[in-house]
Amino acid sequence: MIEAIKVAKEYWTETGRVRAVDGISLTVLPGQRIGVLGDNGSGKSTLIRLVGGVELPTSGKIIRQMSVSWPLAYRGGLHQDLSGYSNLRFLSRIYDRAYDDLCAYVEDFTELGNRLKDPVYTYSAGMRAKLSFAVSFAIEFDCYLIDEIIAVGDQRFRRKCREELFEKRHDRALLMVSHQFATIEQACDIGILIKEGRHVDTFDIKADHKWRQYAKRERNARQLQS
Amino acid sequence: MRQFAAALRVEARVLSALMVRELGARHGGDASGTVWLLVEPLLVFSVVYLIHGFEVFHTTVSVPFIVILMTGYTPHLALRHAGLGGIAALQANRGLLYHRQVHFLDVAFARMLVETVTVLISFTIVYFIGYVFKMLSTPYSLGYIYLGWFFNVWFIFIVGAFVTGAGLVWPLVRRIFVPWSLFMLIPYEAFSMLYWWPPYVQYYLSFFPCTNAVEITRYGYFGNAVPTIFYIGYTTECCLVLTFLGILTLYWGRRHLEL
Repeated sequence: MIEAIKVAKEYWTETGRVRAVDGISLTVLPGQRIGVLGDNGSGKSTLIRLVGGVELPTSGKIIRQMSVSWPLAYRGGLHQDLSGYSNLRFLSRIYDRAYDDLCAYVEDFTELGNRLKDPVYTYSAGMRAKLSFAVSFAIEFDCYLIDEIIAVGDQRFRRKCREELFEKRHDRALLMVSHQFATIEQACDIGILIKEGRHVDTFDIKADHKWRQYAKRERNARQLQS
Repeated sequence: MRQFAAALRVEARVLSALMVRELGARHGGDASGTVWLLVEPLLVFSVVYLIHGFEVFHTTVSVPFIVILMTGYTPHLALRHAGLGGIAALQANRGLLYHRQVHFLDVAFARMLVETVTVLISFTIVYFIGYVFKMLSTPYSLGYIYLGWFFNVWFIFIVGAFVTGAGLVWPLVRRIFVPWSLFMLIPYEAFSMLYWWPPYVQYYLSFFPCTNAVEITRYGYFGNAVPTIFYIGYTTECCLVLTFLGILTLYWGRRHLEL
């Protein structure tokens, strides 16, 4: 179980203090899949980073009683100047996994071939996403934190992610940020809506009428904008 | 207790992985990089020795200059290498801090440890060479030399903690560090003995923990043959207080580190 108790996070910016997350309480039970919804800048990513321990909360507390992945996001988790293989070696050391097993799995999953010998900064966003996912699957966590990253991959990668995460690891917990309703609907049981750092609504995605209404309204709004 | 042991194992794994990474990635990731890490301080040392070694012929000093250099200049070199190491490592290894077990203190200290240890190893090599060529003799007390180096390393880590913490808040600190470290040649007694100074200068200099540390190593080498001035109790207390403040500064800086 992961428990976040009234966590808040403040940043200092040029314009003064910004409260990115404002007293959110959240419980993730084993196997529970939660989608975090909200507009850009509403505090979704900050929440995931707080749960993942990348940021320390300004106030409040986070209790982790299962193994939690690092936030799989566009950046972070890998060393940009090191090659894919050097990153794997480092990660195998800190997570105490056999390097050869890790390599075999990652080579198979990412299909990056010789590019794994190049420094990570030469990779495209999609390649980086593949590498991050592959490593996190090879290490195995009880709870995966995913910040919008599946969207950058190609079709083949998305299919593999679906297989690995939604099918093979359907018993794992998940905390996921995405703007794509299809992904959230497919992956999550519960949706929480965040607005200006506050938790404003909760949906039961599989059965809830309220969720369908919300999704419809949002989709219409997006169509209008485009 | 078992939890603590497990945490300790994780810590050892992370720290060693980071140090291997630091060693490997320093100069392009091949073996020559690691060798260069040792050779570089050695070269700097030889140049300084050549320049100042000749000066000694024009003055009448009873203290072999190489000993002054080895006990004073070497720890100063380590300070210069390690002082900015923490902040540089934090910025370079930002991506790795996403992994919870990689604590920001690990990243900062792994780099500083690598820098300090390599200077210490070159110190040993210089000593060995000096010993073979009969420029250096057997020290009076190895224990005092180790004690002095212990304080030296401790002080370097304290400075590193202050520079890393404050440097994350004010980037100016990183720029000031270089001229400041040159000023530190004086308290480090890099080219002099403490007893050469007038008494009131001696008084003020002996407040620096690094001066005390250097004098302790000198006592370890010369024994009572050459006057040395140091206060072990004061140095310990001073370092303890500074360590506490340094760690506070580090945590303060951590809040300003954007990942």
